[in-house]
Amino acid sequence: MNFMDSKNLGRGNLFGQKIIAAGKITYQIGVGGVSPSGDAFQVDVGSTPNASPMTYPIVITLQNGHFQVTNSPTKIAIGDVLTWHTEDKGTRGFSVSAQNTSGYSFDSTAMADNSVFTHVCGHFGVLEWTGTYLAGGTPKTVTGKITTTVPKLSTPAERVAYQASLAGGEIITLKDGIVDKPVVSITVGQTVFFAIQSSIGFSIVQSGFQPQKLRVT
Amino acid sequence: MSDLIVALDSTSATQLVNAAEAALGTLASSGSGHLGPFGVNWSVAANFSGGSAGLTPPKTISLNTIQFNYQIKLSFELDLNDFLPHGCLPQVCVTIPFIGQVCTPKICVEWPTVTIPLSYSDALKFSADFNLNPHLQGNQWLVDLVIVKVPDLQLSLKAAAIVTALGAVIGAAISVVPLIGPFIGVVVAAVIATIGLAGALGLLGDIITPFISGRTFTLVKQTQTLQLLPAASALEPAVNLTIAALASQIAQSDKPELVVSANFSV
Amino acid sequence: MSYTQTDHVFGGLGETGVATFFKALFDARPRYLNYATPGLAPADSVNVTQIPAGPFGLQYSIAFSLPGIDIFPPDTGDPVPPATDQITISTQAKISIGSGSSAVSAVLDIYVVCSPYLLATTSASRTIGLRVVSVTVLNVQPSALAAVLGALLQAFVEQALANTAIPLGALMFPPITLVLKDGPTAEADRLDVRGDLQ
Repeated sequence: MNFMDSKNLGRGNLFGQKIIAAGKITYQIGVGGVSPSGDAFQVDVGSTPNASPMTYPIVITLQNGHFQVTNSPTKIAIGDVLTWHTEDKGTRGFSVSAQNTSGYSFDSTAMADNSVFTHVCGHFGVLEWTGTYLAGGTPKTVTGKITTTVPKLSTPAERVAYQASLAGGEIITLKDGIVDKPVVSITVGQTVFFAIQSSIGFSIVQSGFQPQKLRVT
Repeated sequence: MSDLIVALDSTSATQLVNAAEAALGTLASSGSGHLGPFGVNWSVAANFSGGSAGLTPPKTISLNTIQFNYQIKLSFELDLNDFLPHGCLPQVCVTIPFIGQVCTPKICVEWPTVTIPLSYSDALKFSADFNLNPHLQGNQWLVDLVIVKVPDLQLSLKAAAIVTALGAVIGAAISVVPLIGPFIGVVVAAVIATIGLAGALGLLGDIITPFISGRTFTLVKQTQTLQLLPAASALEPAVNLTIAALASQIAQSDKPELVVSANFSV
Repeated sequence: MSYTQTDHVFGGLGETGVATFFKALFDARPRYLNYATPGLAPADSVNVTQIPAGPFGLQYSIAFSLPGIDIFPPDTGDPVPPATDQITISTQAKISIGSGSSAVSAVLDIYVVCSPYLLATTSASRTIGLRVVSVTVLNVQPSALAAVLGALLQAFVEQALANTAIPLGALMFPPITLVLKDGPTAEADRLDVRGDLQ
């Protein structure tokens, strides 16, 4: 429950991809970690970029054994962003893979340039994560830590402040195998954004968790 | 005069009572009840130990600071929605320089129902008067001690200790629920307050009292047919006596004594 | 005066208890009271203990009646009263000499004074035995003849008493087990033992 794994996306995760090639893209939703075996959806990517790039949030649901999407655009412009997430508690472990006819492709289980993976941190403690990527064909790893703290909620002011903090998050950027913020600290319930500026075949998984010591007053 | 008299002073009567407690062994019981508003299923294993015997004519043995050892296991279902507001994590929008604007969806939280298990051991000391009850049961003469009435068991401290133990158990049980972090203290305090000392006291009384009410210890167990000598050979058969009557009382002379007397018939 | 006195556990078998024990014992095993030579008892049986024939093939038998018990202090009118820590066992001994129609017999009043003692010291087989102090034959004259008869009967009395050892466990009710410290003592019309609880 709430285990961080970019190869298996569920409620509390989001995968996003900036589309940098024109043409017809076909994307499929599948079971994470295994080659996609789901339904396919098409998006036409026009070659003229918008003045302000648009972001299209695609919602995934699982119905009668098939992945269904809502909000999936049929036409976008080059430079626009597509994101995928689910609101179903029961939809766990999905992945997105896409390709167009000119050889452009992307895959949420092996993230590359201009993609993003988000995770809501629900448990308080220290979460250790390991990222795996390819460099020159060889797998390499990077690691990091997310400390999730418990906010104070004893006064109404503190409760309001906590609620407001949930609208913000922490962005961790990966560029050519270097993590800009290997150690971050957030409040439980906040969201971490792993933004991949440049990489090949990147995936992130939770490699350890030490719960914060419980103190019951 | 009786055919056979056996007498014990308070020193050996104490030893005999302690042996009777050990012979009773571990008693077990289970049932369902309430911990405040929560329905609980419970099971308990218990035994008696210790205590000293004071002898008072005509037939009373008072057991002082006898110890009742118990281990209670119970579990109840806690629906966190009863204690926490349904809430939603708001949408989070960030602008990533090389991607653009990315927004996560709003996520609304429905809390689960968590099973709270508690395993708790403690010991209760009490003193009570018991009366001697010699009687024939089937083909056995028994001298039983039967509690006169349940004493005031002073359960408040024991109930308070259970409430404290519950606090830790509830906290640990709900800590696995995502997003519960900030609210653990809130839930524990609210549940403990809902159960209250009265709730724990009520349940503890319901569980413990049946072990003490009507409590009987068997001091003496003698078959009605007493084999004095086993058969020694084909020409020397077994020699048996029947205990036709058996009585028991506390007698007072220069010291009080537990006296068991019997009459035989051939 | 308490039963346990300076000890913690007491067991006492009263006169009637000892008498009932003897009745049960001798009802089950009459051979302890009846002794006869081969001419009168062809073999050992439940009822009779066979003894060797006398010199020159003398055939005879001795049979005791169920004994009476008087434990110190003496009952009123006891002709041979027990002294401190003693028991007087009274019985009738029928002595028969010869066999068939020529047999002659007499019944004698016998009083045996004994004192109780612990027969074995291993806890598995502790019993109370009775040691003969004197055998008195009443109503026989002259007194020298009474003495001779008493001496003759003593061997049979001791044989019979050797089989009447009372198991110590019979003086307790389970699970009460006695670690013996004092006794057995014949007192207050009882056979008493005292000690600690095991």
